[in-house]
Amino acid sequence: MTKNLLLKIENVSSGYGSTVIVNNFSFEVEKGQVLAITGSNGMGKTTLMKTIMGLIDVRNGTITYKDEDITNSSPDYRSKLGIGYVPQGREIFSALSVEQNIMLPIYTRKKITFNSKDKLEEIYSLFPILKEKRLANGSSLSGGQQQQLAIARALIFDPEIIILDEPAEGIQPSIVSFIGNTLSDLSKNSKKTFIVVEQNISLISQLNSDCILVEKGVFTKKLKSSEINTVEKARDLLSLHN
Amino acid sequence: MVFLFNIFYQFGDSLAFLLLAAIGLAVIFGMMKIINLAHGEFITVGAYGTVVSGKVFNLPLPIAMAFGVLVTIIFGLILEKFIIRYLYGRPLDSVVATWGISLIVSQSFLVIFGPSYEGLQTPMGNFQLGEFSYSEYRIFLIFSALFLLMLLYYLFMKTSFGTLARATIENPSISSSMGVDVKNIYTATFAIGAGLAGVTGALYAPTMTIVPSIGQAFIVSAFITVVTAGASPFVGLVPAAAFLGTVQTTVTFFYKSTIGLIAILCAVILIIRYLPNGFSGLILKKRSK
Repeated sequence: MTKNLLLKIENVSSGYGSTVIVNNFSFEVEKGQVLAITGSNGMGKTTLMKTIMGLIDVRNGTITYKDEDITNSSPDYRSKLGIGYVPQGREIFSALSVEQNIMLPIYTRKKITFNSKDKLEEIYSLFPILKEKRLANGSSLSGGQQQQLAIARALIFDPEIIILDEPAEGIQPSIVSFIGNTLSDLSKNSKKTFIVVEQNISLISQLNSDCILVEKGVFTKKLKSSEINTVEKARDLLSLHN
Repeated sequence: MVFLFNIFYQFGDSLAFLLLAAIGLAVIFGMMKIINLAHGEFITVGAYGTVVSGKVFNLPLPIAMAFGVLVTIIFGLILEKFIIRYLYGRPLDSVVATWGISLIVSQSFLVIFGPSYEGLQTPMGNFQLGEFSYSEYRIFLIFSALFLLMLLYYLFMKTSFGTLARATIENPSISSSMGVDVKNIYTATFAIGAGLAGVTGALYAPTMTIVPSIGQAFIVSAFITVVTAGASPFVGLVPAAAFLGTVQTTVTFFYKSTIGLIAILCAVILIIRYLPNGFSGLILKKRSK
C-alpha cells in the first residue's frame, strides 16, 4: 500500500434486506485529495457513504483506513479514528442548541490533542452565522445554516477525512458557493481530505476534484479534475441535467 | 393562617407524591419511550432495599436509603443488559416484557419476604400548628422532590452527558457516526431512571406498609403525571404535577380522597383530549411565539 493512501474500498457490496444497492464497488482516496462522487438519485451513493461510516453492514469486500481493516468496526470507532461525516439531509439534533450540536463529537472523546475552545472559535470564524446563533435550537435554523452546522459538527474534532453527502441539496446558490469556497480553502490550507457526494454541477466544478460516476450501485467511470473544471464540461461528461 | 397552611401542606404532600412517583418514569418513558410497566417494581426494590438493609444490618436510615438506591440501580442495569436493550424503538413489545418483569418481581418478593415486612419508623418528628399536627418528614419529601427535579434538569440539560443522552435518544445512528457509544449511553440513562425510582422507594419506605405490591401505589400516578407533562418531561413535569395536585387537593378537601382520585383521572382524560402534547407542548409552543 502506498504511503499516501488513506481510505481503500475494495469490492464492497451492501444494501437493505434482500436488496443489494452497492455492488462490488472499489475506489481509493489519497491523503489531501478531494473526490467527488456523483450519479442520479437512487443509484446508491448515500448507501455507499453509510457503508463507509459503518451505518450499513458490508456484505462483501473490505474497507481499509490507514492500513487498518475497519470493515466490521462500529460507526463510533470509525468516527474516533478520524472520519468526519456530514449526512444527507443534515440530520441536526433538534433538541440541542447550535453549540451543543457542534461540541457533541468532542464530548465523546476521552482524549483530544488540541484545545477544544480554540477549535470552536476557529470553526465559528469559518461559519460566523453559527456563532451568532450558538444558543438557538438546532431546529430553528434555515436549511443553509443547518448545512453549515452539520459541516461544523464534522470539523470540530479535526478529522483527517470528511465525508459529505449532498451538501448542496435544497440550499440556495449563494450558500452553495460559500460552502464550496470553504471546502476548497480547507483542502488547500489544512490539507483535509474530502469525499463529496454531489449532484450539483457547479459545486463539483468549483471543488476542482476528481469525480466518480455511479450508476445502479456500480462504479461507472472516473474523471480527472481537469476534465470537469468548468460547469459546461462537467455537465457534458457527467450527463447530469441540473 | 392555619387554614392556609393546611391547604399548602395537603397540596405539597400530593405534589411530592406525584413528582416522586413520576421522576424515574420521566426518564425511562418520557425520554427513552420504554413503556415501563415494571416502574412500580423499581420503587418496590428501592423500598425493600432500604427497609431490609436497615433492619438486617441495623444501618442508619440515610445509609439504608443509599443502599436501597444502589440495589435499584444494579437491578436496572441487569434488566437493561438482558432485556430492555432489545426493546428500544419497540414500545408495544416493551409493554409485554416489562409487565412480565413486574409480575415476576412482585411474586418473588412475596415468596422471599412474605405478605408483609416489618416497616421502619418515620424519621423526624411532628410539629403542632393550631389544633393540627404535621409530619416534618412530609415537608422534607416536598423539598426532596423539587431538589431531585432540579438535579435531573441540570444533568440532562447542562452537562455533556446530558447532551450525549438527548442526541442519542433523538437519533441513535447519527449519534454513533459522530463518535457516541450509543449502547453505553442508553445503559447509563436507563440506570439513572431506575436509580430515581429507587430514590422514590427509599424516601417513601419509612412512611408506608412494606408489602410486595408497594410499587403499585405509585404506578398510576407516575404514568398520568408523565403523560400530562408531555413530550419534554423536564419542562412539563412540575406544571403537570402542580395541576394534578391542585385538582386532587381541592376535590379531596370538599369531598373525600376517593373522589379526589376520580377527579384526577377525569382531569387527565381532559388534558389528553385538549392538550395532546401535554403541558410541555403548551409551554414550548408559547415560548416559540
